[in-house]
Amino acid sequence: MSADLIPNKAFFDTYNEAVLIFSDKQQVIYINPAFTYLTGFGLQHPFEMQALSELLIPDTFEADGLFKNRAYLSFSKKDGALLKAKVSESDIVLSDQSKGKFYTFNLLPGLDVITGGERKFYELADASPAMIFLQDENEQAFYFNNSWLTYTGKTLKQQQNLLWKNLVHPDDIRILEDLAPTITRRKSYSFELRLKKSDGSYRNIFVISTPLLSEDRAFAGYMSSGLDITEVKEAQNQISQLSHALKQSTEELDQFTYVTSHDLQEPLRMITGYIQLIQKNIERGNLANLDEFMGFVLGGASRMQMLIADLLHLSRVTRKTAPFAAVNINDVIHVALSHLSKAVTAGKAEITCENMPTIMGDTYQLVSLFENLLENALKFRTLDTLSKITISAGQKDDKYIFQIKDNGIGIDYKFHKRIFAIFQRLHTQAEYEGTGIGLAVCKKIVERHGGEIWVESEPGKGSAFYFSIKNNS
Amino acid sequence: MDFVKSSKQKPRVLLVEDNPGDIRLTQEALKESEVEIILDVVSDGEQALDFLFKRNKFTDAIRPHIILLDLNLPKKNGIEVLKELKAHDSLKKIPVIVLTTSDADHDISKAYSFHANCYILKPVDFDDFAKVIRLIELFWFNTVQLPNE
Repeated sequence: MSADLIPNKAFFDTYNEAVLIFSDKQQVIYINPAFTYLTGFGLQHPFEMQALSELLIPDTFEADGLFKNRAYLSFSKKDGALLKAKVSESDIVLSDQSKGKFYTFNLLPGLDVITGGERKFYELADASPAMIFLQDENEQAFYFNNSWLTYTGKTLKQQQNLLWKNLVHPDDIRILEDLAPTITRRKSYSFELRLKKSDGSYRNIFVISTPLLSEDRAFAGYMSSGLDITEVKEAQNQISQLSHALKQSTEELDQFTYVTSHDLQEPLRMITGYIQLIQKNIERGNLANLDEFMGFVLGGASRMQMLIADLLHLSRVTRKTAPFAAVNINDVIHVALSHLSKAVTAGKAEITCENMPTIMGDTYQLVSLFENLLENALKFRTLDTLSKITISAGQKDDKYIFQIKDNGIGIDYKFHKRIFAIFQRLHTQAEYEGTGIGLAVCKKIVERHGGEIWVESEPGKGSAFYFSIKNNS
Repeated sequence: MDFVKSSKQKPRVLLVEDNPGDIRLTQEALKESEVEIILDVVSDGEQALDFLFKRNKFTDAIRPHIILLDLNLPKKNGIEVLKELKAHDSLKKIPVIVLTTSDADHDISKAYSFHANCYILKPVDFDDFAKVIRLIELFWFNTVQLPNE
């Protein structure tokens, strides 16, 4: 039935390229002797014709024209060996005027007949977790293994028809462009780029490409294998971030331990020193200054207590952090002022507060922050003057900026930075009591909220403390 | 000949110390000494420099023979005081005895880099403290020769 349909059959019979013709019913109706020679299949028996249709690897071979023009095809020879060829498709009008499809097969140089050994290669490639693909000498990719196809979510056919570079992240195309000279020299190369996955996400793929050689040692393309290193990269980034944070916190801790031990020793020295002095004077019967000396002992003890309380506070602020939630700053200020009610009354302070926003933050820390700043505003007041403190807030870019302004003693410009370091004090205990921890606590809290703290002030002209808080809502 | 015997002046010490307890302890320790030492006290770094440069409220200040300098001071710390002092042609001749609680290597090294004449840790014990004050006195006023301005 079939052979009669083939126009110019005598020509195809002698044609030296393998030819296969499908009917419009997508059945094989003709193969030429070159095809039989190449594949081992003949059309002497109808069952062989059937077998041929089935043996063509179904995923890669459909007679629906998907591999129009130049495409690549692998299929089994009769003896089971895999065959790899470039396929060209064209339409043909059969003798009965029906339309058929006409295919010619060009064996690939270097990869022409896939023998048993090469078949093992493809089996191995398909079992490999690496994403493997092969390119011919013109850099055209003709084979992608299972891992690759699973990653891209395409069939081999779709992948063959789609330039794989289309899946590369637009920003990473230049990585391939930079490699062009290496590729022209037919050297091995490796690169890393983002490749689009089936779910639309981009992941980092590391690829090594090595040249393929044909039997006569001629260049026959590239074999490339890639690995998804996204997680490794993320882990690396995380490690370097963590180690950076660790280094910073170790340095802070070192500094902290040093300063703490120094500052805690001071009151302890007072206690020990004066008790010994008292003892000595009692032994000598000199009771004149005992009251004064006792005052230093008690002063040392209460200072020690204050230091420990403040240190605990600092440690709590940095250690016991709560997840951010919406915090109404009006409430925060209300709580902070209730803690300071004594000082507010004692300083005869007049505190005015604008309506405050609600921000994302850690309530406990924000109360501490306002409490410390307000406490300072009350403490460093100008004597014999009514303390006036105003609290206001504004917005700049993606940040809220808060201001606490007082009419107190002010701070010289040269101390504007130092005051935020731990245990740094501008006054003696006799002038203003304190531990030098408060503003260090403020700085820590503001930093945790993604902001900065600074002061604008001049001696005798009051101080305005500012801090910014990232607007995360 | 030591200072006390060779000079008709009484030995003068400037104590730069912010802790009233330490100031008082130093005064008590000095009481135990045989010679009368005149002690001037300032309680921060800026005052120390004002005193030595006879500025602001210290225009009548009298130049000390030695300086006892704490490092941890309000406003200007001890190292900053040393830096300014040791850069001054005349004031750099006054021996500076750093007397502090810090045993940190970087403090010790920094103090000497800025030409501190010696570095002493404040003892915790009063008897030891008195001993240190006594040793300072013995060394700087009874052993060494000090410059005549």
